[in-house]
Amino acid sequence: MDYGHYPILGISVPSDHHAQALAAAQAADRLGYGRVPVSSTPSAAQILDDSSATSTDAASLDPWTVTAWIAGGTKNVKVRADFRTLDQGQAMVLARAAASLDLLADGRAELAITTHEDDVVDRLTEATAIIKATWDAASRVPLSFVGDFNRVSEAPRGPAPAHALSIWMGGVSEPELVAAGELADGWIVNAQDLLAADGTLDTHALAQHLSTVDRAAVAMGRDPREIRRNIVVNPGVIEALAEREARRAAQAMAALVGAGIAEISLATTDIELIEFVADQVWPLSLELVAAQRDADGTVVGVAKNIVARAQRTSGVDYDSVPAQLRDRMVEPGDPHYGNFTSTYMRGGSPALVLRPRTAEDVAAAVTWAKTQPVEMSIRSAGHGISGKSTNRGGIIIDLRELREIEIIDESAGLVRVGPGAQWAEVAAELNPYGLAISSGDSGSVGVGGLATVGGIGFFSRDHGLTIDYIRALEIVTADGRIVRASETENPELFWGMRGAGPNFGIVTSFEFQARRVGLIGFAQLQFAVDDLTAFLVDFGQVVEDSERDVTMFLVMGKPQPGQPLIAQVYGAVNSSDAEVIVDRLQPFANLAPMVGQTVYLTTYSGAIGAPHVGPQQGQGNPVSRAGAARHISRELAREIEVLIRSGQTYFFQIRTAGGAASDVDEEATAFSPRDAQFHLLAMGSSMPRLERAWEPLAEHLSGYYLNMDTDLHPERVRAAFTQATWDRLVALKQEWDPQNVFRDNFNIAPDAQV
Amino acid sequence: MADYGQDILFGSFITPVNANPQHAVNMAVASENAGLDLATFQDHPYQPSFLDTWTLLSYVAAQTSRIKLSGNVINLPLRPAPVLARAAASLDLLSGGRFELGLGAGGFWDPIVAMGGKRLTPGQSVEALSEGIDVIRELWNTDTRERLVFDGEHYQLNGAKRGPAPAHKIEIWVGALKPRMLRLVGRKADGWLPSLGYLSSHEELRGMSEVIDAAAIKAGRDPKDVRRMTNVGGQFLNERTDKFLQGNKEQWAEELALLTREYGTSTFIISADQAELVEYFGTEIAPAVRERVASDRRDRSVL
Repeated sequence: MDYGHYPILGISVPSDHHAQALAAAQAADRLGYGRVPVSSTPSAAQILDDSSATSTDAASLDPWTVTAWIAGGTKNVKVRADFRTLDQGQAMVLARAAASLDLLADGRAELAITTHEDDVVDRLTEATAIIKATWDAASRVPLSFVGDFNRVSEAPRGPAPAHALSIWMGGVSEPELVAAGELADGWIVNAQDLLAADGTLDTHALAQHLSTVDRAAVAMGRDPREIRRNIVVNPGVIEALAEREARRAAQAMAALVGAGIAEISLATTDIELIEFVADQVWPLSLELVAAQRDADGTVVGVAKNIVARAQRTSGVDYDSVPAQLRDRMVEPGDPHYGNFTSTYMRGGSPALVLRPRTAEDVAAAVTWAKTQPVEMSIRSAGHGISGKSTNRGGIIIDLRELREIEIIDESAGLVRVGPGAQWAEVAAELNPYGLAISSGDSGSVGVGGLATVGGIGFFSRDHGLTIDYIRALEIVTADGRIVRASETENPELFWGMRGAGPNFGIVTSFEFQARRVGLIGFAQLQFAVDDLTAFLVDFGQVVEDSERDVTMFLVMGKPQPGQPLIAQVYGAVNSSDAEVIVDRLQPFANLAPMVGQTVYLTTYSGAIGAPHVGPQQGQGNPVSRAGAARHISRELAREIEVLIRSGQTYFFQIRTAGGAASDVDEEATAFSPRDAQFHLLAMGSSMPRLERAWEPLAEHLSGYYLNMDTDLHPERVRAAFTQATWDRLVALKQEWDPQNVFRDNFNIAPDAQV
Repeated sequence: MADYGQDILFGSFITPVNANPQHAVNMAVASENAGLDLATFQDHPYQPSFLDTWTLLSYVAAQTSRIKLSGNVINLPLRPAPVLARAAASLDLLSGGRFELGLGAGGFWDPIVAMGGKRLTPGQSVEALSEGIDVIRELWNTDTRERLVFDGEHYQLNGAKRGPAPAHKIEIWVGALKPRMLRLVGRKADGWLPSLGYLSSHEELRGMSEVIDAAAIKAGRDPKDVRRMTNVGGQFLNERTDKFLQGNKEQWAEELALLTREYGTSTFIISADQAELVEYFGTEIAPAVRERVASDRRDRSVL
C-alpha cells in the first residue's frame, strides 16, 4: 500500500571505497538527491566479485566516521550511517554524536541503529528512549535511566540536534520489524534481503514485512504513516536501470513507491548512472507517482509522530506547510523547539517556527501563514522589546538564515545585508574595509527589526539613523510577491518601509551605503548625581552644543537605598585623534562628579560588542514607555527625576539624535519625529505603575520611537506619527496590505481613521 | 642535554563548543591556513555544551587537506579501544594519513559513569590504557591474517577481525604526570603530551622525562622515539613581562626554545579559541621559535 510519503531519492555509498563514495556523494549533492546512506555491508558487486576477496579480509571502515567525513564534503544531502551498532553503555555517547553531526551539517543527519544481540526489541526500546531524552535539551532535569541494558544516572542532557532527527531501524527478522513498527521514524530494507530466486525483488515478502511493521505500529497506538520506508537497492536489481531504459526504470521505481517504499536509495558509485537517474528517470517516476496518487485519492504527507502531534496547536494546518519549508520547520514536539521559543526578553510557545532560507522561502511562508488563524510574528534576532517576535500558539517566521553580508561596491561603500544578521556580525564583516553602519547600542540586535523602524546609534548625530543608510530594499509583500523598493522603484513603499516597515512587508535584503569609519573613541562615564534635574538640563545643553561627531547616550538604573543616583553617559566620538576625543568628552565630564570612566580607541566593531551566540533564553514580560523631545526642558528634567526616584523603572535611557538625523526631512521617511534630539525610554515590570509614573513626562514629549515602546494599542501607535505621516501610512497600507496580513506588530490598520 | 633533535611542530588546542557549531571547524581551518602542523580538540563526551569530538574530527578532516588532526586527548573510557582502533584507522585513510591518536585514561569518573561508562580506579585506568594501546596496535596490524585474541582485564577479544590498516603509522600520544603513566609512555607511546599548566614548575619536566627515557630504554626503545609535546597557554602582548608566555614574540620564542633546550619539548600546542591568536601563533611565533631552536642546536651541534 502507498503510505503517501514524499518520494525521496538517494545514493547509498560503500564505506570501504571512500574515494568513490565521496565522489558519488558529491554528485548526488549537486544533482538534488535527498540522501546519502553510508553502507557498511559490502555491495552486491563486491560479494560477487572474486577479486575483492584478495583484500586482507580486513574489517570495513567505520561507517560513522565515513558518514561524518562525507557530511563535511557535501552541502545538501542528508547523511546516514547504515548502521550504528548499539554498544554497551554507549547510548548517550551515540545520542550526542548524532546531535553533533546534525549541528555540524546544519540539519542533514539521520540516525540508523541496530543491535546484533538478543532482546532486539528491548534493547532498541531502551536506546531510543535514552537517545530522545538526551536530545531533549530544554528539560532541565538530568537524565536518569535504569534499564536492563543501560544505566544512566543524572547525566545532563543536550545538545538538541539542529532538526527533528529521524531514528531509523532496519532488518527483516520478526523482532527487527516489530522494533521498527513500535519505535522508529523510518524502516530501512536492503534489497539483498528481499531477492527472489530469479534475482528480482520479492514484492510478496516486502508486503508481508510492511504488514508486520504496520501491525506493531498500530498495536503501539501509532499511525503507520509515521514510519517512512527506505529501500537500499543495487541498481542491478532493477533491470531497466542496468539497460538504461528510462521509462521502464521510472515505472519500476514508481511501482516501489506504490508498494509502500517511497524512499529509494541506489547502491552505486557509478557517476554516469547517478546522473542518468537524476536527469531521466526520477522526474518521470515522480510524475507517475503523482498521477497514480491522484487517481487513487491518496493523501500525501508524513504523519508526525504521535507524541509530537499531541503537542500541536489545533487550528494550525501543519500538514499544508509548503514543501520548501517543511524540512526546517520547528514544532512543539521537536527536540530543538526550546531553542526557538524565547526572545531576548521574553519566553514564548509558538505553534510553529518557519525557518526560510531565501526570499522565495519567505514568500512561501507568508503566503501560507496568512491563511492560518493564528498570530504571525516576524523575527530577525529577537531583540524587540515589545515581544512581537515571539508568541503563544502562533507562527514565527524566523529570518536567522537570511544573514548574508556582502560588499557590493567597496569604493562606494555599498553593502547587502540579510535581515537575520546581527549588527555585531555586520560591524565585524565591514571592519576590515574601514566601513561602518550605525545601528543601535548593542551588537546582538538583529538587522531586520531595527532597520525597518529607525536605528538610533553611536553615529546618529554624525551620519543619521540606520534607516538613513538604506539605498534599496528587497521585500516580500502581503500577497507573496518579491519586490524592490528604492527612490526610483516603488518609492512610496520605500518611504513607508523606513520607519513603519513591519506593516508593509518582510525585508529579505537591505542595500546600505556604509560610511568610512576608522578608529573611534568610545567612552563610558559614570557620575554620582545629586541634583538630577540640573544634571539632565545640563546634559541636554551639552548635547545640543556639541559637534556632530560625538553621540553620547545616558542610562540610569533603579536608585539604590542610601546611595547617590548613578548616571552613565556612554557613546562614541567619531575620531581617532586623542585631542578631538578629549575635546568632545570634556563638557560631558564636567557635568557632575565622576565616579568612573573608561575611554579607549577602538573600531565600531569593538564598540558595538559581540553577537549573541546560541538560542535566546529570555523569560518574563517587561513593559516600557518611550517618548521624544527636541530639548530637555527644566520641567521635563524634573519629571524625569521624579520618575527615577519613584523606582518604577529599572532601566531609563536617553538616546541622542539631532545633527545629521535631523537633517533629513520629516517627509523623507516614515520615521517620526525627525526633529527630536532626545529619545527617552523607561522600562518597568508593571504597566499600570509605569504608566502612572510616566504620565507627567508625557506632557513634555511628542511622538516616540516605535522600537522602544511595548504598548501596541491603536491609540498609542497613532501617537507615534504626525498627521501627515499617518495619512500617508494608512494610504500605503491600503495599497500594499489591504487585508492587514502584517498586523502582529505595531499596526496601522487599513481602515484606520485618518 | 635533553634536546632529542626532533622537528619542532606547532599545533592548536580547540574547545569544541556547540553553541556555534562551525566555530571549532573554523578554528581548524584557521590553524591550517596559519601553517600549523596540528589541530587538536578536547574530548569530553559528557559535556552537553561540546560537540562530540570524534564526529567533529571526521567532519573537519573533510574540510582540511594538510593539517594533522587529533583528539587532545581522546577519552578512552567512553570510546572503547576496539571501535576506536577501527575508527582511527578509518579517519587516517579518509584524511590521507593525517590522523594521530592523542589518548587519555580518563580523569572525571563521575560524569563518565553518569553517562553509562564504567568507573575505574586510577590504577585500573592506567592498566586499561595500557591494554587499550595494545589492542589498538594489534587491530591496526594487518600484516597477519590471524584474527585477534586478546585476554586482558579490561578487554577480551575472541577472534576479532583486524584492520583496516591506517594510511600511515599513527602515533599514539599520552598525557601523563605520575610515575606509572610516565613509565607506560616510555614503554608504549609515541608521544608524551602533558599540559604545562598542571606542573608547579617546568623543572618537573626534567624528572618526568628521565622516567620516560629509562622506561623506554628498558623496553628496548630509543627515547628519541617518544615525542615530547606540551599544551601551552598565554597572551600575546606588545612588551615583555616576567610571566611565562605573557609577552612579546621574542619572549615567546625564547621561552619555548628554552623548553626544547632544557627538556626536549619539540611540539607546542596552543590553547586558543580565536582565529587571530592561532594565526599569530602560526605566522609569527612558530618561525621565531624554529629559528631560535635551530640557532641553539647549531651552537651545541645537536644532530
